[in-house]
Amino acid sequence: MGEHDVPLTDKPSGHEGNQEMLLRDMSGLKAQLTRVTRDAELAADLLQDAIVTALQKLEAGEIEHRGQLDGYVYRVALNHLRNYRRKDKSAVSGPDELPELVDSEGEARPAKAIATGQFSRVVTRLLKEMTSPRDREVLVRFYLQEEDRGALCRSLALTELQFNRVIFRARGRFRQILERRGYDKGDFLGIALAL
Amino acid sequence: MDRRQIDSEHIVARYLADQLSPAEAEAFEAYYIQHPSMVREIEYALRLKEGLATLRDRRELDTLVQARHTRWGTTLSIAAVLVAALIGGWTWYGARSSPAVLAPTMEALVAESKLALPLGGKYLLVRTRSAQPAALQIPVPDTRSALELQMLPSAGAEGAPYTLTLSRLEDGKNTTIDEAAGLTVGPDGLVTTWVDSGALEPGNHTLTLNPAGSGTLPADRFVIELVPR
Repeated sequence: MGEHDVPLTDKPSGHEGNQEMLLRDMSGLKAQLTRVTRDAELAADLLQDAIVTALQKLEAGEIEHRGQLDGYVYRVALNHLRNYRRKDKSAVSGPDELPELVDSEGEARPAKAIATGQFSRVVTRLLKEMTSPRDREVLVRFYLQEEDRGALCRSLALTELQFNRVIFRARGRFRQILERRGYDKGDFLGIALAL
Repeated sequence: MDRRQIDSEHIVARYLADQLSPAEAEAFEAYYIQHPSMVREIEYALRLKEGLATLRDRRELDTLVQARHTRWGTTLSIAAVLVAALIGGWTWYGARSSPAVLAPTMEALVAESKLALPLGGKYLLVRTRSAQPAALQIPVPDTRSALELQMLPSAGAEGAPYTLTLSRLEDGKNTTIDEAAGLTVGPDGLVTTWVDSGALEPGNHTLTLNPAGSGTLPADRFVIELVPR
């Protein structure tokens, strides 16, 4: 899928009636929000807030192209994530400020039903395919423990090329496994927004 | 900020880890808003982090990370192949400690992982020196496979041993993925290399074949476009 090709239903924008749109499945984003806030409902609210904020920007003409909507949603939501990580909850807007948002397909949608447990199964497979314990350690220390890459390279006596090779390979393989298991194709969420 | 910088400096992971400066974070946000495909990269990184965190929560992660792969091979033929790989690819293999993406032989490609990779395809790359060479389209196999690539070097046997560099090409700039040294020229005049498709992502890549010596012989550059099957 190329740039600017998020399949949004191309209906005239306006304030009357519902506007149906498709957004990328954000299972990973929602899972991380849940993890950081330790509250699934709060995480859902934060994600909803991000979606609404982005849609309001779209309505206000502040977003050039509908294909950029995902990016705005992620930017807002990840800012929420960072704020929670920094224990700064004052930046989060309250639910009263949110317009009505209706999920047109309900909670039973297959793409949305991907449990985070399935990500762990994909990661398990990835780790089992990585034959070098040191490479697995690199992946965990960089992505999970979020160690600085320079310090990590020094700690493990890795060159930049070796580090890049480990990360590129792991990232590419993870992507392949996800795509083969259908976690990417058609993985869009439909929403109907009443503005 | 461009794709090359994002790849080479691992911007996605560092952004999610809150390790970028405010200016870098702002530049990256501007980039991914303009490039929706980057949002998918972010989502994948979040899923990877979540999967790792879930395994940690279940106390399964340490076991997986520290596990030793003790497959010694099930047949003598596999052992023989590994011995051949050690001999044939010794110069190239040298001090590598992580699985290779490139290797001069199929055996060397799987020597570290000990996986039996199927052959995903065999391709003869056409040499070009134009500024914007046409890319050879190669479908990425559905399953992790070994791709056999053959190149006709300008310098012929005189340029051996060759060093081959595989890079991801984005926005006209290269990010090195792997290098293989000590490649020889076969009796057919071709340099052959094997690539692990599991480490490749769709998009343009370059293969630069450098002859031995210090610039007296010409290097060759090949462009391939990996496309989803």
